[in-house]
Amino acid sequence: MTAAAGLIRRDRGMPAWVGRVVTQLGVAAAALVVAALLLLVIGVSPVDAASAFWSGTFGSPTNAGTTLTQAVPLFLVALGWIVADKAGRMHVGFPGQVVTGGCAAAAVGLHSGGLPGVVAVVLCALAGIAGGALWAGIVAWLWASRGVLEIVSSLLLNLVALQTLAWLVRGPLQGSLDRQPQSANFPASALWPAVESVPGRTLSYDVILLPLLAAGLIWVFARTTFGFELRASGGNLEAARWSGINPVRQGVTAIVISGGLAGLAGAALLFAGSAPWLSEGFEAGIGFNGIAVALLARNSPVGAILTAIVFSSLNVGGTSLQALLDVPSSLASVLQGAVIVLVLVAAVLAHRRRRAAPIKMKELVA
Amino acid sequence: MGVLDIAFLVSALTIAAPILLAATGELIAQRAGVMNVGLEGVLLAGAFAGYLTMTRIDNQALGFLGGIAGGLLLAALMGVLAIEVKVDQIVAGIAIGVLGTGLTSFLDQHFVPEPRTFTPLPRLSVPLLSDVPVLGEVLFHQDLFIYVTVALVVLAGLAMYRTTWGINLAATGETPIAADAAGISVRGVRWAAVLIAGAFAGAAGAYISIGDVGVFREAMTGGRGYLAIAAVLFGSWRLRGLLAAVTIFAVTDAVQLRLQSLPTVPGEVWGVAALLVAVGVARSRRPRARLIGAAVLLGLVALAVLRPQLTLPASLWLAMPYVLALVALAAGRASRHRAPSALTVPYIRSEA
Repeated sequence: MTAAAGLIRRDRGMPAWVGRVVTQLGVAAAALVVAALLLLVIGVSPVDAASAFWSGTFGSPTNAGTTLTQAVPLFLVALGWIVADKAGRMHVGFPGQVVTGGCAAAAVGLHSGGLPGVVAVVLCALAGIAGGALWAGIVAWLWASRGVLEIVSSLLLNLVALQTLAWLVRGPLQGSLDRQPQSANFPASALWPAVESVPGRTLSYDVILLPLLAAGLIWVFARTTFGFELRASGGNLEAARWSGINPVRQGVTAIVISGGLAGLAGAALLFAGSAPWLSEGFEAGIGFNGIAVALLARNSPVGAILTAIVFSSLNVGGTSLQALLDVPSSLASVLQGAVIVLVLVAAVLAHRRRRAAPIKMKELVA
Repeated sequence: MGVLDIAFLVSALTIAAPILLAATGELIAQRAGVMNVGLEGVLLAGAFAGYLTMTRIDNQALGFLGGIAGGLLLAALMGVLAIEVKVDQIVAGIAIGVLGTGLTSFLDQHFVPEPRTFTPLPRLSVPLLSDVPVLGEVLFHQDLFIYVTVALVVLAGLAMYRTTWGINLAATGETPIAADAAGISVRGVRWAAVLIAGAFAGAAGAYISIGDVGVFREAMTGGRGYLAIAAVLFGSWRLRGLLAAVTIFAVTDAVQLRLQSLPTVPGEVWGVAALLVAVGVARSRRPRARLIGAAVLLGLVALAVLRPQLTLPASLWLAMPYVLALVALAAGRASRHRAPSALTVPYIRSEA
């Protein structure tokens, strides 16, 4: 019965994208209201805050470069969520996978000083992907062969990854001269190249990953057998099984790929970021915020580019708000949480209004 | 007893109590079909709300009430999302987690810029019983929260297994259609369960901040919310299993705390681990699991006898309870089959 309702719902063609844009704008407006209220509560004028926010995020080429570069890790995690979610697997191990990916990339990067730049960059990226994918592989294995809910195992593995990072930066990878819990600086040849003409070289070339990966993912989902099988196992399990698709294998693949994307995000954070060394807090909430980025984009890879930039400007702007107006920087994470709630509610409300009409059709069919 | 002395048992109890209370609340909610993955955020809300109350009115009873109110607030949000708006519960839980962490640190930076420290809950001795050697010191010389937790868990057990409400609760989580047809308000039962879970987690959070240490720090609950959820799952949605899981987590955590300060791993630890594995092997029915268990047991006994000069860095000890929770979940006998059938499934009457 639910499947039939789904078919009927998908039938209406006309205002689908209009409705979607209106919902998105509504969510953005509501989030702005929440932000304004929070600012008023702590006694900061929202107008001052808005101008400080703009100058911190897009006010100069340097700041705009930072904002765009910091959108890349968020976008990669969002793609990871989209891949896993399309296959019906909802894991939340991104923080852990970002951390393990970053650690693996750092371990390789620290020892690649003698290699030519291109080789070092590619090796670091691959190490990041491998680190994230391996960590996600544990989640996938626990789910597929031990029946452990992927959401719980991934939450616990996040905590294990954080402790492992804390150990690495104090033990094997500790390398700063003043015995701080952080690694030595990465060799300059391993750092990812940045656009020379932007002052401060804040715009890393890895921003080309945004359009490339979005297009690639859309192609995989729309045009390849693999993408179809992935979506099929996330849709109707029975139907997938009857068409000879193994949903468990697809689920495992999806989780591992999403871990690889998160691991690459970890490498990007370190090698295209402002601090070229491994430290305890380098993950900076990217793992959970990436999920919010994907949700806000309604699981659309192209939409995720835009929402990743919005979220990264929240992070970057939040820092400048703290510097200029003494607003606590955790304002950004409050807003990010609020955005998830608003998106959820908006999606359900829009869905309900659309469903009002087809119910009559359902009665006709019955 | 060396490492495993009275102080160790007391610290294990102090660690166990908030996890136990939060997990019991979560168990009630999950038996009604609502899973709150953001329990960590609810705990933090309780911890911060309790602390904030203390900075304004220096009264521990009111502090705990504030903590409960903070927990109820986030639980109510979860209830609105899961029961009224009927969104995906997992994603709603993620939102609650992010919101709880962000909001508490935002409000803490603004409302309490200067961190303050309060005296933790005083320890109360139960007359006569506290004079019993060892046991008296451990069990009957504790703070009020631990006694109340024990009472609440017993009450929750009675309510779940010995009352009509408990049957209604299980029916709501298993087959809401049947429950609805029998005249049970699915919405009412789920709301009650979610709010009870919120109040329990709020009080547990308040204990973590103002009851146990007397301060609040950003993200100070340190994953206890996730451990509580893991305990519910590992316990196959039964109170007895949950108690076993919380005991194991708390003991590991206490061992970890103790061992951080020691240069090497003492032999007793291996002995206790061997004992735990032995119990597991004895209870297991699958031959392969028994074989693996026996091998691990032999290794642990060897370690206990040989007492090698092993050291583990503090961070890795901190990861121990989580690793153990994972191992426990992986070893659990296909526990997903015992989950309430309607767990995380919203109840929509027109589609039933």
